[in-house]
Amino acid sequence: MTDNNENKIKPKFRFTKKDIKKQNSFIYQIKRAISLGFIFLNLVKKSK
Amino acid sequence: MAKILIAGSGFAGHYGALILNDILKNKGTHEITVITPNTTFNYLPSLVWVGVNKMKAEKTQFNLKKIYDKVNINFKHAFIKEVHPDNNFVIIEPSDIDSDVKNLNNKHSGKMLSENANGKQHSTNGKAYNENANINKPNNINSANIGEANQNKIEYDFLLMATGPKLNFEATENLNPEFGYNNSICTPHHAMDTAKNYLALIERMKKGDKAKIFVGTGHGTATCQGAAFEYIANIHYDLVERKLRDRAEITWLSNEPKLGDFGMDGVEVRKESLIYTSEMMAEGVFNYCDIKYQIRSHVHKIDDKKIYTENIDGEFKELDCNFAMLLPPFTGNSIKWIGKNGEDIKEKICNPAGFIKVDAAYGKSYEELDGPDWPKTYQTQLYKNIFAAGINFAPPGPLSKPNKSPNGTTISPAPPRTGYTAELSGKAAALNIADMVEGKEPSHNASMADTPGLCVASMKEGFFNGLAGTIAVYPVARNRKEYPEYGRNLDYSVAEVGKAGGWYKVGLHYSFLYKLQAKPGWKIIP
Ligand SMILES: Cc1cc2nc3c(=O)[nH]c(=O)nc-3n(C[C@H](O)[C@H](O)[C@H](O)COP(=O)(O)OP(=O)(O)OC[C@H]3O[C@@H](n4cnc5c(N)ncnc54)[C@H](O)[C@@H]3O)c2cc1C
Repeated sequence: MTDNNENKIKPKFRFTKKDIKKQNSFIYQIKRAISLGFIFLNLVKKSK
Repeated sequence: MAKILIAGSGFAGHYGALILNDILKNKGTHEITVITPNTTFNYLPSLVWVGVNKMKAEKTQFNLKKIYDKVNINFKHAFIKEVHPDNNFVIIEPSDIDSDVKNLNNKHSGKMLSENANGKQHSTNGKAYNENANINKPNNINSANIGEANQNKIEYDFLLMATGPKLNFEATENLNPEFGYNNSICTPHHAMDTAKNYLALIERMKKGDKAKIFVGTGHGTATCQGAAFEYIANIHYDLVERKLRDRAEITWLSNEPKLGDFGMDGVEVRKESLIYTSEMMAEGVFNYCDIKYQIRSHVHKIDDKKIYTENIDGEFKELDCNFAMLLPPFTGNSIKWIGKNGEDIKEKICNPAGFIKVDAAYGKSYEELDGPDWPKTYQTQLYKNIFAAGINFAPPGPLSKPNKSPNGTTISPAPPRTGYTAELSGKAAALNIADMVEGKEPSHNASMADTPGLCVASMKEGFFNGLAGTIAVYPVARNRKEYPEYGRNLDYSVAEVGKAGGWYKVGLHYSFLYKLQAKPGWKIIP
């Protein structure tokens, strides 16, 4: 049950198999955690 | 010596009090008093886990008085009822709320929700414990009896108003969880009741019942979609874990103009040469989890069988429902503002929703509004010694595109002021008060158009199996003057799902609670 007008606008986005694999891969996510850590630190610096 | 009053002990008020106390402690003898009706600090973001019975509510709280005694801040367990800004005093009413859930079990037990024959939840006595109701109870003390209630009059040199929102359940018929048709995770007690109702639903599903579950916003102008998004994902994964997912139809019901809008006009992320959006992230999650959705919708009413909605095209729908967690809209608190001659001056101080106007450019249309129009110092313009921070300050307009149905119903999310934004504004207001104590002009800026938004929405718990949606934007309010293309710096944007976010979510819970208890080294925690 999507809203009628929503259906008219665009097809629904789906994660690819590769996306799901990355979301659940321990090694990939450790790398992401490090990258996110840098982004968060930069953001925190910007709010000082 | 300056007398500083801080009203409220949420993210903005409590953090503001700690910062102000720290900065002024070596600068003469100043008196800081926090006036708050609750005995505990409540870490609201983790109530999502309480609402699916994955965390005990006591793990989201700590006692305020102990912390204030430790750092020499006065603690007044009371409500602010009136502010007299021309004469620099407030009128308080002592609070009898013990918000510590450990002490509440007995008091609470007689008022827990139970089920009726239809399998719907109803409050056994028709009035489950509700801090919000107490916070907005009628004013017994007023200027007329100040004489006899002198101990309830407190003078100040500076006032920081950080009393958060009133949860305006009354805006939608039967939305208040007290009626037993809707659930809420907005307060520890609501979240505890919600967990009970959710577990009761699980029991029915185990016996073979099918369930239609709705999560989202309960009004066209509600906000805090991030918390609801988190709750719906937690329910999905919890049901998968319990092997009951095939018995539930889960639907996201919200007022957002597009999926993944989250009341902040969504997020764009640059991935190599492509632009990926939070809309795609939300669609990806909902597709993967088989969560249906109805957006651009206002809720008129909820009862024991249905939710009555109207969408942006003016179509009315009745949705069959067995369990709902629909967030209420927010308004300002019912605090009176009294002028020199005893007249009501609330209209001059607050916007029509009751939030306090500060140094923003009010009155602009959505199209005209830009980054520089958002408040910077959080100082009220009529009374320079009064500041308002957190959800309590009036935003100059929405972040999401406002809309009305052909029937005139407003379907337009209010801008979120998340925990981090509340903290940053509370901190800026505190530092600006410190500036003024030292005879300087306020110099600290925490505009939402210069500060980031961070939201980590947990979906599934566990170190190895955990999952969360991470959203980061800089700045929260689009600033087209600074960043003409998107109004934001996409180098700092994040909208992704993964285990990494799950680890951060757990880290945030513990680091925030550590920092806010002023434990050793708290100041270096951002
Ligand atoms: C379930 C849920 C999940 C959330 N998840 C996140 C998240 O993941 N990330 C995030 O950033 N944000 C999240 N938020 C939002 C965040 O909790 C709020 O933005 C934040 O609490 C706002 O802080 P505040 O200090 O403005 O108000 P509050 O935290 O509401 O504090 C207001 C204070 O004022 C007191 N008060 C009320 N009336 C009076 C009165 N008359 N006199 C004196 N004191 C008074 C109250 O008792 C309270 O102490 C979530 C919110 C909810 C409900």
